[in-house]
Parts: sequence; structure tokens; C-alpha cells
Amino acid sequence: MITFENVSKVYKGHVEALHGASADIEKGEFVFLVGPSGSGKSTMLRLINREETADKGRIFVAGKDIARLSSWRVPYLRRNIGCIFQDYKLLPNKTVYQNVAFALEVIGRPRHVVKAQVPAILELVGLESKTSNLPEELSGGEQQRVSIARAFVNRPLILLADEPTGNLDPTTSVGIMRLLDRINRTGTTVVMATHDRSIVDTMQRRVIELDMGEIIRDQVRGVYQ
Amino acid sequence: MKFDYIFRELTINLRRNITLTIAAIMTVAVSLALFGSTLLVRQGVDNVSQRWSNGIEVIAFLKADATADQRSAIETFIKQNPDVGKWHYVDPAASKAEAKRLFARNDLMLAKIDSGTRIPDSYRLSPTSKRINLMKSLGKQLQAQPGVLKVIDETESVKTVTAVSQFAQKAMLVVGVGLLVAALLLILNAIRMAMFARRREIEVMKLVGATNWFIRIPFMLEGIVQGLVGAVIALGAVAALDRAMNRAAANQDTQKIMEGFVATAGELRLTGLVVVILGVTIGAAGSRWALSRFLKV
Repeated sequence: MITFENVSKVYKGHVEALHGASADIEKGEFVFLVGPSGSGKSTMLRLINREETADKGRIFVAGKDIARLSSWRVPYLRRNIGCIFQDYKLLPNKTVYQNVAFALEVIGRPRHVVKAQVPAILELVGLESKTSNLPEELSGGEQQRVSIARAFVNRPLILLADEPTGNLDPTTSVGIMRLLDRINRTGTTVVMATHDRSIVDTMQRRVIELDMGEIIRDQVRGVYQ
Repeated sequence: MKFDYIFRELTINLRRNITLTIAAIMTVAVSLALFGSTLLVRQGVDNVSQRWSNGIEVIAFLKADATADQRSAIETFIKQNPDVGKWHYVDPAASKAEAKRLFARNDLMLAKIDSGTRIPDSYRLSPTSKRINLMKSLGKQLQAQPGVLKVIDETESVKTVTAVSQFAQKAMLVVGVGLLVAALLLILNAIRMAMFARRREIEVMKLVGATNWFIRIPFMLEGIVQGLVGAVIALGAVAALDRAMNRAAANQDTQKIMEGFVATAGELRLTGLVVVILGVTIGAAGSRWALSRFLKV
């Protein structure tokens, strides 16, 4: 599903965020990216949905060499990739329902599809009773659930998560991880960058460890270390 | 869904930025009004000054009952006079055509011309030198010829008015173009502000895979609407000026046709089209510029 072939990325001529990274992520896998801040985790995620482009090497997503993707095709690549973040990136003036519906509206999905899919996904993430609340009226965990609903409502092949539990307490984090696990079980490939040792150790999934932009460990059913 | 969405976003953008939107619209309106009036006045003045082109400075209109002998006498006088340079004869049909062209869009005057008012034929002369005395004395001599109805010359006042109007046109054009540039920058900034106000939405839209055009269209339309509304206001001002020019011309009597100095109406439809196209272009260019500079996709 995702292949990195000897990928390097240098920011503004100096900082080498990624150096000769190679990895192969199969469809339906759940992968943790771990490592200290600045080790290249977020860069890997940003390369996958082509927010950044690689300076060297090749990246394949769903069988396509994304470096060769012309820029007008990038939005169509992103429709297959859901993203969630530490800071949720919800729209503060839209309700829970509107936040999720927005993701479908702006890619031109017809109204009846929006009407059918949004309530279903909100039920899946357990927010069916909060559809008309604004984000500021929700707890951090609930806000992250909205952002997961928004990322998953279009049933993407891949879900990228950049420290999704970074702002949440351990109990809430467990709930979020259960949700991501459930989404993974539907066949969605999940790639998650995290600092959360207990989550990685508990889940026992594949771990890719980065340090100074290099992959120093790639372990099936790994732990944080 | 898409049209709903675009319309909703457009109105939100326009309202959120209301002061900047109004500033942009007003600047577009004032600049295009100046621009349009300049075009209109220029067409009018061109019509008037055309008969004074090619150095023609003296015109002798003939009486309706001028005999063939009188005519040949006048012609002989002109041919033999060393002070006359180029000259030509304008027959009644050509004179009528000229009057009709001058008042092409003025129904009242056209009716007068068509109702059988005779537009006299004339000899048009250009003196060999620019000395004002020469022009005057030529005029006097011609006036003394039997069969001549009236002699007019390109008086100093005509020259002055033409010169002043040319200067005013240039000044208006400069101010108009300056304001047009200001309007472009205001629209650029309005769009930039709108994009800044909506940066979160734009970020999310990019993340979930909205196409570049989908993200851009509401902003493009915002600029175009600003340009268009400004153009429509300018169009109103230009049309009002056109009406005033027409009314002023209609109040003149046919005698003035001969004297040839009436401000006539220009081609309002063409001017309007130019104004609207300019307005839309300015709006589109301003937003296009803002998008290419500040929207990385």
C-alpha cells in the first residue's frame, strides 16, 4: 500500500529530515512511527499525502509513484488518505455534523450521500448525541473523535495519524486507540506517529523507529523501547 | 450541492470583509466612471473636431438659392486667391450625412435634420499660413461674395476648448488608470484577507482532497463580483453623463450644426461594454494574483 524506496528529504538546504529511508507497508497494516522529536516521523507522513515531495528516492502509494503525480491529481490521491492531528484541526464555527459533512461537500459528494454517511460515521465514533454541538463544547477526546470521523467518512484506504493522543490523558487515549484499531480492522491501513510508550507497548503492532532521519528499527509486533 | 456551496461561501466572504469590499467596489466604480466618461467625451469631441481636421480653418456655407454663376464665381475666387492652400467642396448630401453622423444617437436632432431642414453645402478652405489675420480676412472676403450664406472659422475659442478638453481627457485618463491600479491592489488585499480569515477551512479542504479549482472559485468570484458591481455603478454614472450631453445637444438649434461646435453623444453601448469588461478583468486579475501568491496548493 505504501512503499518508501531510499527516500531523502532536506528542508531549506540544511536540515536533513529523512535520509535513505526504505519501508514497505502492506494493505491493512497498523504501523507505529516512533522516535524523538525531529527524527523524521511527521516528514514521512507529510510525504505520503504529498504535502511534501521527496528530494531523492521514490514513494509509491496505492501503486502510484506519487513524485510523478501531476499537481492536479494530488487532491484525488488525498481522497484516499485520511489525516488526524494532535490539534484536531476542527473548524470552530461549524457544528460536529457540519465539520464532518464539510469533508464530503468539498469533494463534491451529492447531498444524499452526505445525509446518509455523516450520521453513520458519527454513530461509529460514538458522538451521535453531540451532532449539533460546536467543537469548543466538547472534551479533547470527543474533538479527536470528530476529527477521526471527518478523516474516515470518505472511507479512505489509508489513515495517517500524527500524535493523535498527544493532548489527551491516558484513559481517553485508550478510547481513541480502540477506535483506530476498529477502523484498522475494516481493512484501512493506519500509520501513526507517536511518543506514547504505553500505547505502543500495549498494542503490540509493527514499529518503525527513526533517529536523525534514518530508520534504525523495523519490527513486527514491536514495543517502544 | 456545488452551487449551494459556492454561493454560500461567496456571500460569507463578501459580508465578512464588508469594509474592504465596499472600498474595493467604490474604487473600481470611481476609476471606471472616469475612464468611461473620458471615452465618451472623447468620442463627442472627435465628432466635433473632425470637420476642423486636415488644416481646414474656414468654412463658407452657401445660400439655398445660390445660382450657378455665383458658385463658379466663388470657386474662381478661391482658386485664384494665393492665401488659400487646400480646399474642397462639400455637397448638400455629404453635409446632411455629416450632420447625421454628428447627431447619430440624438433622436431630437435627427428628427430636425430629417424633417427637411436644409443642411447647406459649403466650401472648406485651409489658409496657406496659420496667421489669424489671414483667416479673418479670407472669411471677410468670402462673406462678401454673393451666394454665400455664412462663413465660420475655427475661432480661438474652438481651439482653446479643444485643447482644454484634450488636456482634461489626459488628466482624467491618468487619474482613472491610477485609481484602476489602486482598485486592483484593494481587490488583491480583500481576497488575501478573505483567504486569511478562512485559512483553517482551506487547510482542511486541501487535506480531504478538494480540488484546487474548488478551493479557488469562491475567491475568484468574490473578486469578479467586486469588479462587476463597481463597473455597474460606473455604468450608471456614464449613462447619466451621456444623457446630459444629449440633452445639451438637443437644446441647440440647427444653426449650431453649421457652427459645428456641439458636444455630441458618444457610443454609449460600446463604452458600457468596455467599462464592464474592464471591471470584471480587474476583479479577476486581482483575485487571480492573490490566489497565485498566497494560496499554495
